[in-house]
Amino acid sequence: MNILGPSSFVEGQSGLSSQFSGAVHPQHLQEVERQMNAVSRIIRTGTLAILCGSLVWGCAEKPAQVTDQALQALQIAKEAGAMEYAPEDFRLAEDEYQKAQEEIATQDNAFVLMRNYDEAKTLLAKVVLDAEQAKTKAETNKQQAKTDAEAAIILAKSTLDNAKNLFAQAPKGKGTQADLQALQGDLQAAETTLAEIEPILAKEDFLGVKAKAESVMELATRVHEQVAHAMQKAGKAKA
Amino acid sequence: MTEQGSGRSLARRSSCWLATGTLLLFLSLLFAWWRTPAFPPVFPTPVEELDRQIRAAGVTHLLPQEYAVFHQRVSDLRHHWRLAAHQWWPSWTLQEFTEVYQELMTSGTALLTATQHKKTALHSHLKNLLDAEQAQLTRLRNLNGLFDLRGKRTALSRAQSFLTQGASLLTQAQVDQVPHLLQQAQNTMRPIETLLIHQMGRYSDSHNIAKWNRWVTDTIAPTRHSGELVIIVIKASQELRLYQKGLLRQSFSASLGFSGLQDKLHEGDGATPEGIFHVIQKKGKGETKFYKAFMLDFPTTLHQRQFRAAKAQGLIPAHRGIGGFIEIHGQPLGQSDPTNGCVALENSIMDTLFPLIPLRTPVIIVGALDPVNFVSRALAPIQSHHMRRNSLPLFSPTASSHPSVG
Repeated sequence: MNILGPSSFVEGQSGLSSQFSGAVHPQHLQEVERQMNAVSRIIRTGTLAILCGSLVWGCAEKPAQVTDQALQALQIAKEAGAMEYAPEDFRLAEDEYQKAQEEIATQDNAFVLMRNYDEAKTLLAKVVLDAEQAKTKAETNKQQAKTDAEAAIILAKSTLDNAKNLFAQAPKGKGTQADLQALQGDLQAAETTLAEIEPILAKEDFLGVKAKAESVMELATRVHEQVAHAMQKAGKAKA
Repeated sequence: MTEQGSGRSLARRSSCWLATGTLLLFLSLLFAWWRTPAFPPVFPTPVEELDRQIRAAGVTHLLPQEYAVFHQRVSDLRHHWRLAAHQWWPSWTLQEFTEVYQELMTSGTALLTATQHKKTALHSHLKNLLDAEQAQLTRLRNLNGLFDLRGKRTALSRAQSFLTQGASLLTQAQVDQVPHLLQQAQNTMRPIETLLIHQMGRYSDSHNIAKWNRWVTDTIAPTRHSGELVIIVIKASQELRLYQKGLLRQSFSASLGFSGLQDKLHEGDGATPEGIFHVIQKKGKGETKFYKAFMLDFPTTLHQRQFRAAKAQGLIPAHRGIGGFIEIHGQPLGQSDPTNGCVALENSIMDTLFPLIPLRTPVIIVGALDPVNFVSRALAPIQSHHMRRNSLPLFSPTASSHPSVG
C-alpha cells in the first residue's frame, strides 16, 4: 500500500529531480519534509500498536475463575458421595483437574509473550462437566444403596418379629433350658444390632446398614429354624 | 584497474561461497527439523487409563509409596510432552519419550498386578481370619449344654453378629471396616474362651485324671471278690458303666446336667457333681416324675466342706445353696436332653438296672479316666486358636505379607 498515495509520490520524485537540476523550490522542500514526518509518525504509531497488541496477546490471564468453578464442582461431587458411589467418574474429573494445573504451571513458566492458557481452560471446563456427571451418578447410586438398605431393614425387622413370635411358642422344659437360653441370646443380640442401625443410617453408611441388617436376619433365621425344629420334635414326641 | 578488478572478483567469490555455505547450513537444518518425528499432538491416554485402573484397584491403601513414584513419573512425562509438543527444537527426542512411556506402561502394569495380588491377599487374609473366628465361635457355641455359658450366650450371639457383618462387608469389597468388626468379635469371645479353657483344662490335667482313676480303682478293688456292683459315670464320654467283680459288665449312654461337664459348685448351676456317692433311695414307678430313679447321697461331707470354702472365697453368690436331689433317673426313648445336674438314662435301661442295683451301691462320678478324652480333644483347637490369635497382628494393609491363619 502506498501510504502517501501514488500522485504525491510521483510529485515528490519530480521535485527531487528538479533539485538536481538546480531549480529547488522551498515550498516543495517543505512539502517533502511534511510528508516524511507523516510517514515517520505512521511507522512509530504502527510499531507501538504492534507492541501493545503483542503484549496484550502475550500477557494472557490465568484462568482463575474457571479453576474456582472446577474446584467447586469437584467439592460438590465429593459432598454428593462421588468418592464412594461414583469413584471412577470422580477419579477422571480429579485427573483432568491435575492435568489442568500442570498445564497452568507450564504456561506460568513460559516466556511472558508466549503464554497461552486455552488448553488449561478447556481441561478445566471438562473437569466441571466430569464432576457434574460424577455427582449425578453418585446421587443415583446412593439412592439405590439407600433403597436397598431400607428394604434390608424392613426384612430384618419382619424376620426378627417372626422369630420372636415363634420363640414365644417354643416348647419349654428342663431339657430345652440351655437351648432356649442360647436362642434368647441370639434374639437379644439381634435386637441390639437392630438398634445400632439407626445411627449408621443417619450417617448414610448404607453398606454398613445392609451388613447389620443381614446379621440381624441371620440370627433371627437361626432362632426361627431351631424353634421350628424343636416344635416339630416336640410334636412327634407327643404323637 | 586490473588489481581492482581481481580484488573485486575475489570478494565476490568469497561472498558467493559464504552465501552458498549459509544456504546449505540452513537447508540441512531445515531438513533435520523436517525429518525430526513430531510428538503426538495429544498425550497418550493409555498410561492415564492405567493410572486410574491402578487407583481403582486400591493402590493408595495397599502400595502408597510405589504408587506415588509411578504417579509422579506419569506427571513428569506429561510435563515433558507438554514442553516438547510446543518447542521448535524439543529437548527430548520422540524416541526418548517413547522409551519412557513404554517403561511407564510396563512398570504401571506390574504395579497394577502387584496391587491386585495384594488386594486378593488382603481379602483372602481377612476371609481366613473371619473363617477362623467363625470356627472358634462354633466350637464355643457347641459347648452350650456342657459347660455353664449362662450370661455369655448373648455375648456369643453378638460375636456372631460381628462376624456376619464382617463377612457381608467383605463380600461388598468394603474391607476397611472388617478389621474393626473382627476385633469386636475377638474381644467378645476372648473372656469366654479364657473361662472355658480354665474349666476344660481339668480334663487334661494329669493330677485330676490320676485322682479320678484312684477313685475308681479304690472303689472297684474291694468288690473283686464280693461280687458287689459299682456304677461309674464318666462325664467326658457321657457314659454310665456297670462293673461287677472288678470287670466291666455293661456300658450305657447317659445325659448330664445342662452344664454337666463342670464340677458342681452350687444349686442351679446345672453341673453334675463329681465324687464317690452311694445309692440311698430307689424310686420306682409313681415315686418319681422321671420314670424310675436312684437317689444319691449328694452332698457328701466332702462336698459340704468344698462348698463352704468356695463361698468363703466369694466364688458362689451369697444366696445360693449347695443343692441336692442328684439322681440317676429315666427319660423317654430318643430324648437325650440335658438335666439340671442328674444323670439320665433311657427308661428301658432303668428297667434293666433297677432290679440289679441294691441300696448302698457305690456310684463314682468322674470327669475322665483317660487324658485323651472328648473335652481335651475339644479344648485343643480352642486353646490353640486363643494363643495363636493373641500372638498375631490383626491387620496391616501395607504389610508386605500376611500371616497365614489355620
